[in-house]
Amino acid sequence: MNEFQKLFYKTRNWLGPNLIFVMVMIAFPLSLNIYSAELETSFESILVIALLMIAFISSEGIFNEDFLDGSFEMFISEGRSLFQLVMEKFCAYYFMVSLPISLAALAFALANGVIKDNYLLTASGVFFVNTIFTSIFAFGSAISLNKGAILGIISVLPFSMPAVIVFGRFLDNLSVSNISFSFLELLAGLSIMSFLIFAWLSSKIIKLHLE
Amino acid sequence: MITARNLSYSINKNTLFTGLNFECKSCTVFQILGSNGSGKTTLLKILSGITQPTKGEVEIIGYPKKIFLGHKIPIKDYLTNLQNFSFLNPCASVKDYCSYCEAVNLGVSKSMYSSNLSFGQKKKLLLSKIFQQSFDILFLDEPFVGLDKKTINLVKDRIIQLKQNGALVFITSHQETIDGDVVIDLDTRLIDQ
Amino acid sequence: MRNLLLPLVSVKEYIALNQKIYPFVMLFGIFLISIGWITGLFFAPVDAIQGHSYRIIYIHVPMAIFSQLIYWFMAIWSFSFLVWKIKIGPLMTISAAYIGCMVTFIALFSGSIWGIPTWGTWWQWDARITSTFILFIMYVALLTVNGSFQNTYKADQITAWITLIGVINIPIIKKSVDWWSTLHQPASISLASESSIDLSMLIPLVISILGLGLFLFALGLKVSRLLLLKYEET
Repeated sequence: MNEFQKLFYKTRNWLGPNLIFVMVMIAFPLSLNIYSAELETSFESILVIALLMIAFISSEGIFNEDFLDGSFEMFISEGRSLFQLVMEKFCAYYFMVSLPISLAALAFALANGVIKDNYLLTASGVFFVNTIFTSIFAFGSAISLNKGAILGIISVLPFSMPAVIVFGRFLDNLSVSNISFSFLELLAGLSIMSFLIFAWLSSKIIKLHLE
Repeated sequence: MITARNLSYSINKNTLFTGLNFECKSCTVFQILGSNGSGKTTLLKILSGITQPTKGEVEIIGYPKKIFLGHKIPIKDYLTNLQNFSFLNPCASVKDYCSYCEAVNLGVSKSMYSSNLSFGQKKKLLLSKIFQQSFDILFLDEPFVGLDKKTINLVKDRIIQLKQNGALVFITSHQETIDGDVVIDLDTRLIDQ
Repeated sequence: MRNLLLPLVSVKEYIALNQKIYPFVMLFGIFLISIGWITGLFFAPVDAIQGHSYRIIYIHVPMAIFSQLIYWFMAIWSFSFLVWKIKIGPLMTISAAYIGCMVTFIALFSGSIWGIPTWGTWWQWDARITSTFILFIMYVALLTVNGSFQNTYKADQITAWITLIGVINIPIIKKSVDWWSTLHQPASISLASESSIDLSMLIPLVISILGLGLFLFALGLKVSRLLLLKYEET
């Protein structure tokens, strides 16, 4: 029983964010009565909000349960690496939340007429950005273990600023069909760095909470 | 196997214990006694490596297989009983689950969600870890809480069996005393053999 | 050398040093600020375009400079605490966080006041203002995180880690006016190149900056003593 299987059986933690994302992306053109000319700009704004929201929702309870029921203590006492466990958890969330959302975002981008080509680059870009946000908010969740989610948000919202800036550039290039592979490499690099750094930091913070 | 030198622990200005020195070898049961808040659980956590002491050090020779089972029960409500059993004992089979349930009188279905279990039943499921696997060092914090008399005896027998197989066992318990070879009393700071 | 390093490892030595230097630093800081502000507010010439409204530069610019410098100060102390276990590290970090929060708020507030006559708006979501606002949130976050843990050891460790990660935002704030086309003007004074403002306006500004630096340092010494008293109580 590894982290992927555990997350798979804990349906609300991965299905919820996916459904909320789909709901938001369907609801906004219906509710705001947006004309097709404005759809492109609105789509970008809504996508940023939706991705941030989903990253926060999906990462909120990533560590809480294992911390409260003593799984972390049992794990550490067995001499296993908390860093490895956290990385596994992150990967599980990337696979179960970030990947479906990136495909859904691609579908909505096509449906709203925002992109006409560059399908793989679009989906990959959204995937990497969502992984960066998830890593950051998961770190916030580690800080605020047992303290409430608001503390986590306040602590890590400033760190998401560089990620939001890069995402903004990505969206600008997306709308003019100008996504280059090198830009995607930048996103991929940031995603890997944030994955490793925030996973390591989260494991350190969790260990501190247990002491 | 474990040597504790000058162990002290305090949070802010509250000192739980100070200046503890002892050496632990295999085939021994260490019983830790003390009143509420004396630091029994904290001492176990320090020895198992979960918590760092404020002063002093714990030296563990080699890479023994350790396990800490504390007050909390890491049984997931969204998993079935069999899935939780597999999570706790990765190498165990369905047959092992059935024979264990029979032994401890845990008459619950494999496919039933563990959210329906009582506290005692969850505790029995958790304790399958010490029955299905063998460890070099065990840290058991109040292992008998919530168990019926028959299961308590089974757990005691298993602890003695593990000790005879070379394990080192640290145990705290308000209720049942097990014949500890060494008793550490945190109230009086006495280490009695 | 040993005498220089002793206050880093001994709280008693730090308190003794603190009590010794505090009066001089505070008095000298107030003296320099007074010189800088009086000269700047009353004697510096009127700006050709902005008129008298530019005079807020003598409050806004020093505050903005120190809002970033104080974060670097915190990062260095956090690093030294995590790596070398310097005892007074967390104390200096949190004292500086209080000061930094106040200074950043004043920078944002004075900037808003300056924005009305210059840009016709109190606020604009441009790169420099937004990133400075984020910096303010970071200070608030650090203080919130530090205050929410009963265990001071845990609180100090987590605060130190968050401080170090947050350093990434400081270069972004500094370079925001160069990387993006913003409402906010680029830096008028620089260590590496010639200043774009006249000497008669520059000299009071430099004196204000130095004076504010000393004043904030003295304030930090006072805050750290108060925090030590608070730690003693709990």
